[in-house]
Amino acid sequence: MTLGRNRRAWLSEKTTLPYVLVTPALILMVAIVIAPLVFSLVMGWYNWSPLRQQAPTYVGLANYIKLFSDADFWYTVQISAKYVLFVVGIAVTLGFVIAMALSVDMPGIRLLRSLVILPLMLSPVVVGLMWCLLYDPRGGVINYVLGLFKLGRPLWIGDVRSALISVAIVGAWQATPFAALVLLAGLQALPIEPYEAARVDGASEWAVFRYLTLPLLRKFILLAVLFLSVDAIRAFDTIYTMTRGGPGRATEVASMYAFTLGFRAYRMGAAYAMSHVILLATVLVGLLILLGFRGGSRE
Amino acid sequence: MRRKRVRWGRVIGHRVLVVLILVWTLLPIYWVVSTSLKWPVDALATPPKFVFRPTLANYKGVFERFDFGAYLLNSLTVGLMSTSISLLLGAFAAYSLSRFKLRGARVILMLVLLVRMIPGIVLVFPLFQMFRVTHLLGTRWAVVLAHSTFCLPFTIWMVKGFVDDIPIEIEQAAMLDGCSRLGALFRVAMPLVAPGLAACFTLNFIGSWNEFMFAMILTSGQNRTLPALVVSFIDFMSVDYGRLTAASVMVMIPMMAFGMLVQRNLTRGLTLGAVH
Repeated sequence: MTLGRNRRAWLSEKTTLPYVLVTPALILMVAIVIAPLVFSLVMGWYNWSPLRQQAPTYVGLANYIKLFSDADFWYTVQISAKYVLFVVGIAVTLGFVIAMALSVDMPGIRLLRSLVILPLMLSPVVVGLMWCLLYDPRGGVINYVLGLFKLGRPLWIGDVRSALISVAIVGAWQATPFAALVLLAGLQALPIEPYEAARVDGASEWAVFRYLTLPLLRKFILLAVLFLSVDAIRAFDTIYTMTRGGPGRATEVASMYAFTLGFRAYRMGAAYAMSHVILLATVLVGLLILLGFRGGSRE
Repeated sequence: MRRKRVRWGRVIGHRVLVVLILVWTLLPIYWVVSTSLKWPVDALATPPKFVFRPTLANYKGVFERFDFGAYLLNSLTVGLMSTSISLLLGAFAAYSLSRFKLRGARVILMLVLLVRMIPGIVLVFPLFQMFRVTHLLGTRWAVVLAHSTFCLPFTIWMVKGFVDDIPIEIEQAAMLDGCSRLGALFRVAMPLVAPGLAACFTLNFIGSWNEFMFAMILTSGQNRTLPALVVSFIDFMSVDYGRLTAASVMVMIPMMAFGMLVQRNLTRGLTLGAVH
């Protein structure tokens, strides 16, 4: 084999090897993701119940029309929107504070950073259970501390009014380290010169934060918000573990509603239609992330 | 870089903040671990007991009454299978996408990225229906395949990043020395990305081990993985926090250890390379 040619030629040489290497992975991806996805988009046009043996019946757009004219659907969209807002808001704010606090040089900082990411490693099921224990109205440690300060004994996930924010706090607890990691990477990539210039000019610390750090981190904040949104839109596991969408329907987010339609009401067509709404929301946010990729963070 | 005077107020403020952050992050974890070591009377005692007589009775109970070991084996099998399949197929695809000018490479990469973002709830209905027809529903294979839906695209995308980082000249040099192209792949490129492959394997394993929704919907009975088992505990022993937390601790401790191993690659992995 001759290799005196340039890199480009080496890369574009006509062999079958590149295709041989890429094909098995593509076949598997088509089999377990693309085909089910296409199947799903088709089944949105059919009515089917796993309970009955009969074949699916074609109903056109009826599943979607029914979904959009159902008050339950708009209720669940609203619950999901609030959940996403709470989780992303809390996680990014706390993540920012953590990133700022851990971006300094001090003894043990590496250990601190690795401790702070631990929630990311936990199963959402474990996290849900953990917070059930903490939220327990009678024996939970949170209400005990509140009791010490005579702040009452809220029911947390047991009360229709506080259930959504309570499960959102749990979602945020697990998502915060991710925001912190992204923003920490941003903080460590900050250029030094503008800060020196600001010090020479005698800028206040608030001004430095507001007019230097925040704008310079804009891209990282945006990425954190988008990635966390994609995750929060699909939230299911912790909520299922903690409340199953209750009490009443107080925490019935979009995924929970789709699950209930499919595996509790056995209305598969409606469940498919609902899952497509979740897919659409995710794809929209995903496209924004792709735009972010195009910018690249390494420049 | 020595400042003229240390501003103690600031330093103390910072240390207090760090302590608060640690309490927020670690107290819930500590609480689960300590509850799993308590006797039932101490578990939800008011005031909460920070000092108590520890016991391993809860752990014994989980193994004896619920055959925990069998489900542990399920989780291990499913995790190893889905990560191995994904790594085997994904690493070669990633190498090819990084090294060669493939027709449609850009499309494939965008596809991989979008596939990675598809929510589980979107795939679970068609997979449920397809596995029903193929009689895979309820088996461990169903979860292995379902977990590969996120492990495989993750592997392709992450390993491609690692291969991109290796200068191609190293492989070219090996080929000048008489190595075949496949030889260059196996003897030069793969060993160089080995740490990346290990990190990718670990992150996928954590993802599979912790996953709940596919596991709950697509398996049943004896084939459940640990998270699905733990949730089924809640159904019939809602107040038995002792055993619930003991099971939780056994699910969470190994993953925390793995997490420590891969934290260097964590940001890059979780953001699919958008942030290094």
